[in-house]
Amino acid sequence: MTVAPSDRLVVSDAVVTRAVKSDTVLLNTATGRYFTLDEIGSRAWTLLTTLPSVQAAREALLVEYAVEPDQLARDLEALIEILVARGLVEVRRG
Amino acid sequence: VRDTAELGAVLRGDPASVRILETWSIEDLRDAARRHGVLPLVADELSRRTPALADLFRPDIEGAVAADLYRETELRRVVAALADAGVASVLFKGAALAYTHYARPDLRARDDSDVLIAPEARRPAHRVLVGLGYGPDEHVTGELVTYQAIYAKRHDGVRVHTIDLHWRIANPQLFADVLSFEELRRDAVGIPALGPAAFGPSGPHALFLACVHRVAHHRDTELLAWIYDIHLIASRLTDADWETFIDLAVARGMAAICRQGLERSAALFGTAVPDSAGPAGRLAPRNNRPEPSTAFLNGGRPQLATFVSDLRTLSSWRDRGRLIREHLAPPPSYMRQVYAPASRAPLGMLYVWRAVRGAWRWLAGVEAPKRV
Repeated sequence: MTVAPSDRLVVSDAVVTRAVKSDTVLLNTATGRYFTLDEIGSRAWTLLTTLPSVQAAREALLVEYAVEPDQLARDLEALIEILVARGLVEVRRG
Repeated sequence: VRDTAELGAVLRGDPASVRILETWSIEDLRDAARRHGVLPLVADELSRRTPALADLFRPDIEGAVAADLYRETELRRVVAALADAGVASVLFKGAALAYTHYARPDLRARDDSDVLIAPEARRPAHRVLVGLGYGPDEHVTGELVTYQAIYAKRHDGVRVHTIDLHWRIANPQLFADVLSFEELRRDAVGIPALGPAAFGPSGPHALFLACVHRVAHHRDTELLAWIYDIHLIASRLTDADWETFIDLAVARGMAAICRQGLERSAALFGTAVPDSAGPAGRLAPRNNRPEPSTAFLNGGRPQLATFVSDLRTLSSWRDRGRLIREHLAPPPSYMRQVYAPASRAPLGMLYVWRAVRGAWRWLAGVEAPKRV
């Protein structure tokens, strides 16, 4: 599934999360499967699921981390792909 | 004993305890911590102090968090549904302490969620739990034998959450009514993380329950999870809370049991106990007549002694007769499920087998399984 920069990510209803130190554990209660995001992944998760678009999250991460824009775009795309594939977020078209 | 002392040192933050892995394999440490109901706490503590251990314990911590997230989701639904049906409840033991006294709820390992209701609310509570997909476990029954019922939720046949529904705080008659649902609910504190209808015991009541439970049901077993509960609760009591707790322990004939819990906690975790609750305080023996409950501090006590205590505590011969009948002849459905789930053995034979096996268990002092 292709996600456009203007799209917004919404946490799926079945997903609950808990911060553990700098990590975040995500549990899909519908499947019983859980996933852990490290510190940077946790920050990306927070921004992706609270800001109005993927583009806004990307821009915020660029400000916060010393990373090349292309590298960030690739990493974010990979993360979003996993989050969508595992039913952790839903995509709302922007 | 070695397990208890060394794991206790980890939990109280003894810097030298990080070296525990020099003498223990990681598997042995996990097993011992799991047996004591403190694996998440030990994993968290060691990971925090030694980054090299963080990777070793990562699966334990993440697994505990995920399990707890599921449990929390279920518990929120259960408490809300009970309230919607007009059933007031109080979460107690680990289900409440995880939220009221631990830094994160997943740090308090637990096998089930203990929910206390008023005795007259059993039927509506049963309907609520069944409506939420919980099924009652086949469990020993009898109006005077047990004051709790187990409800399990399963996914694909696998148990994913267990509610231990209580309508009195303990099963032995001597303890069943030492603190009522009404008293607990009157002083209960909110647990916002589980929703507006979720309540847990006040500090003094929580400490009283923590001290009583491990003796009433588990013969003063030195299980670290339960003693650490005592430590955390006691550490937060105000002077007024201590007075309330001591008054309660003395008035209900539980002074020696409460003193024992506090002494074990002080020995293992250095719990600060005020003089009034110390060896020369108001929990100390006052005369030559020990409280009847002190008999439960004998670790080798056979189950038969609890039965005799139950008979003594019940106030009428009618109830005593009923208790004997309920122990000797549980319902046929229970007998089938427990003693012959896959056979067609005659029911009479099952009752004889139960009597023979039960007699041995009652005399030998076989303990009930521990659920933290």
